[in-house]
Amino acid sequence: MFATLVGAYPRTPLPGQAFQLRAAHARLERGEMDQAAYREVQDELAREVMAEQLDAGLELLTDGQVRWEDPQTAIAGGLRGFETTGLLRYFDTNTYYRQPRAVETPRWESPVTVDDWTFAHETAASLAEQRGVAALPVKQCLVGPYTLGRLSDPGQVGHERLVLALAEALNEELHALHAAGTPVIQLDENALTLIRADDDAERRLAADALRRVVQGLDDAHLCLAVTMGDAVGVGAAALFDLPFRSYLFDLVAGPDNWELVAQAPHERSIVCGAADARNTRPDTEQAMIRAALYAASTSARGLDRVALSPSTGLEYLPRDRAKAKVEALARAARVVATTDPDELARATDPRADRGSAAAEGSHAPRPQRPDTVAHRSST
Amino acid sequence: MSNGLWTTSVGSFPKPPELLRARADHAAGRIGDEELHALERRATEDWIRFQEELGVDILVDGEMYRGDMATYFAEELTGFEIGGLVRSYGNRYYRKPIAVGDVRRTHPITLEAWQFAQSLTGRPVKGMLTGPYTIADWSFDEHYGSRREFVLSLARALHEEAMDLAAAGARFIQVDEPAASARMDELPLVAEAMEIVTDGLNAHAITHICYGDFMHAYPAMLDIPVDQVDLEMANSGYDLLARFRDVPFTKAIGLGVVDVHSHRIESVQEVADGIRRALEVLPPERIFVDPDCGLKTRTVEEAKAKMRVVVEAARSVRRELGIGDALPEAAGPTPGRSTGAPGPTGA
Repeated sequence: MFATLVGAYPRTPLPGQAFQLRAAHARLERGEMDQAAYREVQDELAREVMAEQLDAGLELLTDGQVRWEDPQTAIAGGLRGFETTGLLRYFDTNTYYRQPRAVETPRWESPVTVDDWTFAHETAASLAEQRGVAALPVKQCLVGPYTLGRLSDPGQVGHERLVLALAEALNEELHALHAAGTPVIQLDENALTLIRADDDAERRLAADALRRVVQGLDDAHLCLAVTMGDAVGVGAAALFDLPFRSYLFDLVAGPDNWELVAQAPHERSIVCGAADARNTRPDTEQAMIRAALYAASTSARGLDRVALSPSTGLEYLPRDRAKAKVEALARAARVVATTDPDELARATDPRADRGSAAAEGSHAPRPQRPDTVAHRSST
Repeated sequence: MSNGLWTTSVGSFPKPPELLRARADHAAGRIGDEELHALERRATEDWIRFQEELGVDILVDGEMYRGDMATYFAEELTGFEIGGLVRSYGNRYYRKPIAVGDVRRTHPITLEAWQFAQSLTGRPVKGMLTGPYTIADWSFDEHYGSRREFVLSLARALHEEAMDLAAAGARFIQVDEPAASARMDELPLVAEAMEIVTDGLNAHAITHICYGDFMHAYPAMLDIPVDQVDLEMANSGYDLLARFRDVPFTKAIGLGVVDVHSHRIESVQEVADGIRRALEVLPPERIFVDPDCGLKTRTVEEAKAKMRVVVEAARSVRRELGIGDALPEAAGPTPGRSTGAPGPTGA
């Protein structure tokens, strides 16, 4: 039981701090700073946000994706076959991305994210050494083939061919990350939330792309993340037929993802996106704990195969609010990990604070006892 | 002689470099309010003069005094505090409002700026409001816990602002709802809130919507109780016009004809072709020609060049059709504002 980010973290400064990245970006655009110097500013920010995660108590770190223009162009730009076009709204947010357009069938030529992961991995080690603690693992996130294909302009390549070609290309990227030693590789497939249950062609395409992208990686820890809504349209059978060891679900924008959690086989780990990453209002510790307990209770999963996270990337929040959310998540995870489960279940039973909760259908079933837990998984 | 194909712009123009510097200086406390406002007024005068000289029919003040379109209103309403920076895209960030109490309007927000701009010209200047749905959607909510309650509270506050603008003589009032296209299932809430904003409003009410899945929002967007819906069309290759053949567009349209996120300056020919395509499905007296969206992200030179193309293209098509360039006169609510039924623009 631990807490982790979905991936992104604000690149804005804490109150009272100078906004070094924005100033450096402006200097870069004006030609007053070269790429190498700009990269150093990004490195420093990545170190800072990783230290913030570590000090808050997260146990699986990311570099906060603070170098990325956006999740799509960060990956498409490293593949052959794309150009970048106009701005589009990212799902229902007020954040925009530059839409990649396929100008030929995309191909993988060299690692896109391995250098970033290596930097983050080394940073985690050096931060741990400074603090005299054990180094924490760092996960690498990247957009999955279905989402990258769906959010891109397919041009002459065509939608289906683009998605499947991306699956082949990103499979090579996953192999490169695995070979570099990445302990957890997370595929972000938010566009699965756009698939309707009656759209058989898209359901098949998404499942086919995901099967291809994970090929030959049975010994890697692959995580499938779905945020910005629910993936119920894709269906539990298709999702859990895939060899992902863990699944991260947005339980705020996609409460129906609970249906999927309930059907996830017991050996799969679940990361509960239980803290609202798109509103500054603090989440209650009880709600986060209840989410963890319920996920642990499904399929006799046990708490060792459950983690907590924000509902999606934290880039939508000001830095101080994101920091507070991360600290609250880590606190909730610690409480779950260190408290007797029966006592915890009693303390967080909604009937204890609101008698009508169960009748209204908002009462989560009591979690499994810990002695039914099989063995500890890395997520 | 019939009239139509009037030219206008969506709202914002780029701030000149000296005003951008002054805003940074003001934020850092190096200059005071008066110095900043003097530069804002000067920049407004420059844009009004530019539009008049170009022959734009319905002018805007260019929003020289605004930063983010939602935050600007939140700063003037009670019930909000302004949060830290969040990123919009690239190197652009804005301070996102947080609703922490009941939202109320205690004083006019845009009235003085509109009166100043209108005092500079005999042509109509649009009153410009950010819509309740967009302000709510682009804010954090720590108070209401119900999107509907939050949106409708804002609608009541903005109704007061719209009524003050109309009472001061604004004949065209635009209520921007760029967030409306993000969630199709909430279009009824957008319409419900707009009903409150435009209730009893004696002006030509416009809403601007952009960057969304219009194909799915149509024809439901016609239920929004306004006289004109302003849409970005150039950016999407005028795709939506084909739908108007099956389901007629029953309001006046603000026809976006130049892409505001591209450095490329469109040719007069291609913009005129876009207008001609619109004329296949809409009469000229229900078409207002403008850029896809606010031009504030372009340079001053690019924005001016794009506006020149808009005006020249509209003029050339007017000449072809023998349409007069008389300014729209008695603009006001159309009979079908609330129902989506066809009606004249009143112009």
